[in-house]
Amino acid sequence: MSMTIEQRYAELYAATAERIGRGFPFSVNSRRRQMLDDFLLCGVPDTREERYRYTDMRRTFGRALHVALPDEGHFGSGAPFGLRNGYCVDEDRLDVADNGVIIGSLRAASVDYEQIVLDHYNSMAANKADALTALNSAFAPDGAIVYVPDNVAAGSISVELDYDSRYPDALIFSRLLVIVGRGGSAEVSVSYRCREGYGMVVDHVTEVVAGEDSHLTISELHDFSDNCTAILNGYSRVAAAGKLDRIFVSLGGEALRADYHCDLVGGGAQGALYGLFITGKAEKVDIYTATNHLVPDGSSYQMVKGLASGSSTGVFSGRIYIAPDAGGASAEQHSRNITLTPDARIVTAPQLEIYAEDVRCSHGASVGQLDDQAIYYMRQRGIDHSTARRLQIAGFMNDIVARCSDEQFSSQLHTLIDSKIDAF
Amino acid sequence: MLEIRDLHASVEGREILRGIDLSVRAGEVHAIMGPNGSGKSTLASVLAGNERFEVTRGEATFLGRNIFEMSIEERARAGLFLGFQYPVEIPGVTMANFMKFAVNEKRKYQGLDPLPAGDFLRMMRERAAIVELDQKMTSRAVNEGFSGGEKKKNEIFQMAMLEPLLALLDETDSGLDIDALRVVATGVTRLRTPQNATVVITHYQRLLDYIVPDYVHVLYNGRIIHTGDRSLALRLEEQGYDRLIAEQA
Repeated sequence: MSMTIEQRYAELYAATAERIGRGFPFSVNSRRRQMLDDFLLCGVPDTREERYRYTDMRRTFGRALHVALPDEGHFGSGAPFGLRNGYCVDEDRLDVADNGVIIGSLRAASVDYEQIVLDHYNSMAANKADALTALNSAFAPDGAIVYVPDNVAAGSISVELDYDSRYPDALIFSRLLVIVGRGGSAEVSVSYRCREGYGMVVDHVTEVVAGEDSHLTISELHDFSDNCTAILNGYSRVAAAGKLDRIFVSLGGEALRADYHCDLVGGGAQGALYGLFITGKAEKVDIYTATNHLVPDGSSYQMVKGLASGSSTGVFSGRIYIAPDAGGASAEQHSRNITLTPDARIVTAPQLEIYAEDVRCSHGASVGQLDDQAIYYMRQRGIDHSTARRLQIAGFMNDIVARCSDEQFSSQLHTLIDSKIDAF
Repeated sequence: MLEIRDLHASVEGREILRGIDLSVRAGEVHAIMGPNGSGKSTLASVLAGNERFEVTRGEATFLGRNIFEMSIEERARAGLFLGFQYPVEIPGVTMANFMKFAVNEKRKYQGLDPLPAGDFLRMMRERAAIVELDQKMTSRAVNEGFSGGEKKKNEIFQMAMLEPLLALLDETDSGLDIDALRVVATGVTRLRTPQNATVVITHYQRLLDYIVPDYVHVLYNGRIIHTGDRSLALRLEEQGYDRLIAEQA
């Protein structure tokens, strides 16, 4: 009898557990087995599951994949800080600044700052009953941590996540943990990059903890090649009067699946998500958001824009949940999309679950094409057809891109977006 | 500058222009009047190159070139400007950015280098003043959230930026209150030089108090049925189109 997909991962875990857990304290490793059991219990989701309706994970994980090992990781490049195939580029690098800000390897931090890691690592990801998150928690061989202590303004921090396994069909687990303490602030830019995927599958989990009265901005660039499948699961928790702004720009991939879960757990917590995805050829981007108002007086805002060309598909499923005792909540969700070709496809599905009285909740979704009248208008002012088109596309995207305040990051974004759109 | 001979054009198989003849020379101002549906806006759209309309017969030259062999943007760069009856909103594209592209495309066509940023900003400031357009408008998205009056002022502001040889103003006066009308019309007048020409399409004589035309043409049923001087506009205001149409029939 042939093995199920889940059994295959159980075997793979048995064979690699010792190597992937090397260097972590017992306290962290002892949880891995539990995570694997969670994975086995949930099973790799199929498309009958609402959350994974548009991306077939059983097909992705049903392929024969190999788990990237440390020789595919450490590179020893020096600055800037980042991960390569899930491993800290500089083995066990941990930068600790005078103000207490820690940036570096999750594995190293779990030894030197064991309690911080134990308090937060898997604190959200473990409770979500998501097989691919549990699988990541079982297998993650390292990861990146950004820790900002209470009342510290950390400024700009950048993290580079590179995926470049030379071996075909690599399965890479990578991990990012961002913690900003009470009254702290930081602007974190995260670049995910895979130039050549060779059938690679990336299973990445981000956990974000925004403390009371904190202000955290995380800008992400997803730049995956079209022979790479990436599953990015993000879990955020915002405490009372904390403010979390997440921004993402997704530039396609064979299949890119990004989840943004945000729990507002303290009064006056604010969670915002500004997203843009651009797909061409036969690419697919599937964005799923879950915003959970768990206490009164939280506010959330989402603006996710999609631009689809070729025969690509873009999906936005946005769920807003307002708990029975989360009155006074304010939630807004917008999904705006443009298809550039007749074969491009956009699916947009807002889901609102409101169990409290006295809430303000609004949502809207649109899918359209470029405006021919606007193009005619620009041409009548001497601007050629293709520039007019480009200007209109840029106009559509600008408000999202402009939110990335880090100059270097945003110039990188512009370059990549331009070259992506040039190919349309 | 503009020579039109026996121009016929249709939209979705329906003939709108049925033989237009018109000559516009440098330094002249022409007014085209006529009842609704007579083809005034169609004439402007066809000259600008709107692809909705099909030219079925006749010819038109602009600066000696067959206008129908030029693309929309080529006509614009060569100096043809259309002031839109319904200016289009372009979300996310600022007026400043839009004008920078437009001005520099024209300069490229003329073999000039792009305008340095400082000169461009000064030019924007000066030209905005001509139509009393709030300087702040230039940092807003093109026509987005502009009032009717602001949109029309914005058309003339763009005309001031692009310094066209031939401006076709399609009902620039519609939707304007008296003050805005004066500002817009004065702006147009100030932009007048011996080298350029203006064709004003309007319903009302009122605009022509400010923009004094050399010729007034009455367009009816796709043809120019009468051409006169400024007094024709006054007569139309008094008597309406019916009498003139009856006389011509």
